[in-house]
Amino acid sequence: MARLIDSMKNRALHIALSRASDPSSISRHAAWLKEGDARFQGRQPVPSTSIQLGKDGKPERVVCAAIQMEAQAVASGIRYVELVYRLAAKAAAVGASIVVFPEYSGLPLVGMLPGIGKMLASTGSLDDAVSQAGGAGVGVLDVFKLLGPYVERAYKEAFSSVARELGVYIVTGSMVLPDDSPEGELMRATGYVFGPEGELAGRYSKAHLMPIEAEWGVKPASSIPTFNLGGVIVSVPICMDATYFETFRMARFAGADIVAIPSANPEPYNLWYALRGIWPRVQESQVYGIGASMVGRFAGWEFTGRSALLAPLELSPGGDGILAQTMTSNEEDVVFAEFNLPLLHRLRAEDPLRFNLSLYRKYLPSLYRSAQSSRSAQIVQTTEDGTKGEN
Amino acid sequence: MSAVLSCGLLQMDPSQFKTVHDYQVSVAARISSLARKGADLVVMPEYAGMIGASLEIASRVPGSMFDVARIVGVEGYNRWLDFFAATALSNRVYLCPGTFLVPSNGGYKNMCPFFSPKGELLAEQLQTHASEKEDRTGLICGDDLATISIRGHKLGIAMGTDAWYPEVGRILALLGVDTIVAPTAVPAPYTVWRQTRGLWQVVQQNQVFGVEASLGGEWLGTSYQDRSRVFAPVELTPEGRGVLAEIASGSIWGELVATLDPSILSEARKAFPIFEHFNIDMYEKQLSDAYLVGRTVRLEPERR
Repeated sequence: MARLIDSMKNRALHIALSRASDPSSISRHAAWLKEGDARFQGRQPVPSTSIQLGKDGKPERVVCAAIQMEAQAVASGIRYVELVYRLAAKAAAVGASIVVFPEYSGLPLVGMLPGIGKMLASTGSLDDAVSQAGGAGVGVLDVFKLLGPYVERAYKEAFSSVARELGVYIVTGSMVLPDDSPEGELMRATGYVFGPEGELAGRYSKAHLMPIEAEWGVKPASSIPTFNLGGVIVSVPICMDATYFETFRMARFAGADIVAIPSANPEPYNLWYALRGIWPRVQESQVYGIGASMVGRFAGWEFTGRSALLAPLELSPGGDGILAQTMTSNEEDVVFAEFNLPLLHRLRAEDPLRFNLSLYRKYLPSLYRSAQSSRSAQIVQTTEDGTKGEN
Repeated sequence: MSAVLSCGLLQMDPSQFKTVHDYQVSVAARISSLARKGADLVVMPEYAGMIGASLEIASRVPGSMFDVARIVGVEGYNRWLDFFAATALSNRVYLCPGTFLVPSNGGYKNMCPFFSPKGELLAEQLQTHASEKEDRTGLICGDDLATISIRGHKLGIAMGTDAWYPEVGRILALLGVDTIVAPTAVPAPYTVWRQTRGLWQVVQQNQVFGVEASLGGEWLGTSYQDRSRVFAPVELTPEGRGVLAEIASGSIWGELVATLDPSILSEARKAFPIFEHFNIDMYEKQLSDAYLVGRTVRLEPERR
């Protein structure tokens, strides 16, 4: 009898999640939103013309936008596409051709799980809510796995539809999603790039994890890809990836002129803490940067950040590397700026980076593993010494 | 366990020295003062080592530091090494007397010597990266990074342009240094952003200490301006600025002593274990060959 009840519950859950994530409803709703949007009446969504081309046919100027999104649970894909549309349309209305959403932009879709909202409100953290709902042994990753197929289809359809309706490139940010691979079903922090016709233009995953993601069992990516968006080469590492200069070197050498960093930083905002990410990477790599931040309280986390469009110091009017930045670190906003690609290429030609291959070959990559073990051992030793000291 | 290190730092304005004697007396006195304040190590700015040499040949009107290097030559460099060795010995301190341009293979090397309290030359670090301007003047780069241990406290040197190349800081951190010493000379005007994109961010992404000693004032037709600072991971510093100690803003001259305790680095590394999440397989697969498409620095002929 118990098994039958479980089976019925599972079936009911499947039906509820299938309805909530139905792609055709999401797509129709996106079209309906666009039809009723006075800002776009009579306007043709043709982003390839809003990326200004030079005489040689190469892109010269491109307006990019960073979405500062407030974390919130939504009960269905319909509500989610409303959220995505509302934010992306603000960017499209000011002429943005490339729109970047933050890390964990798919987190609102967790709200499709019946009752999760109440559980989160009463427990205050995703981990607690999960263990309360699922019992001992059930982890956050299990919930992401359970929701994975439904979240994935709602997430992809919402962004694809909005990109198509607005005629822009959208970098979706990320969500922990299933990644079928020869090793079995893995979960990765993954995002997508959709083109102006709603077509899938690329997929990327986070290569350097936050400690909590590693604890959950999320797996890191094995490459930093680049994408051609209307002739503009863009790479999209995610959040922690920007802590590592290696990421930006790979992106730059693969031809990227723009590196977008969706992020979700779960700590109180501090300018200097925030400066450890995309800002120095843009400086040392001579690329343009788009930092899109998740903000707000969700599942016990407090996300903060100031989304920004960044450039090498030499190309920013204030000499601070910032072309545009949101005014607050905790409220929804959309910020945009125009990137001048010939100017960037001139800077690179006049003051090129010069590398010392002989030096690197001597130490890299062989030192990484030994240094990693050595530092871990030091941390363990210090912790043990501290514990002994306390005793 | 690495030892706590008391690090002294000198910021100086070369235009204040009228004679070689002035320079020698002033440098010796200030190093002595820092030693009395407990400094185990004293770090001086980039090119500080050759200020005395430029005064030696002042009558021959050197137009640039490259002229000084060409006229003074290797012999001049060696003569000044003797002075700094004696200064280290007489004050019983480790001494990083800044850098010295030395002619080599038709170009120049930027050398940073490092002395023990016994006056021994422990290391001679060569600059390993060049700006476009340095490359045009014929800077020849080294392809090795030395580390120096002071009672187990491990140091490395990222001089001049090297402080703006993250590869240098990363290799030094992988080699296990607790502190990166950076003698710099940054042309005016100062901006906090230019400094932040240098050693500050190297310190943050490697969770080590950083000591930047900067040249100030006028020297050989160039105006220099920077803030000599001691950096640490943001979590370990007041207001999270990542600055442990600094020469007062607006000062051309200045000195300070800062305590560098490697045990506190472990707190930052434990809270935010950057090295634990290296994606080494990806670096092996994608990064190693990536550099082949970039421009390269000049190396000595046998190193190419």
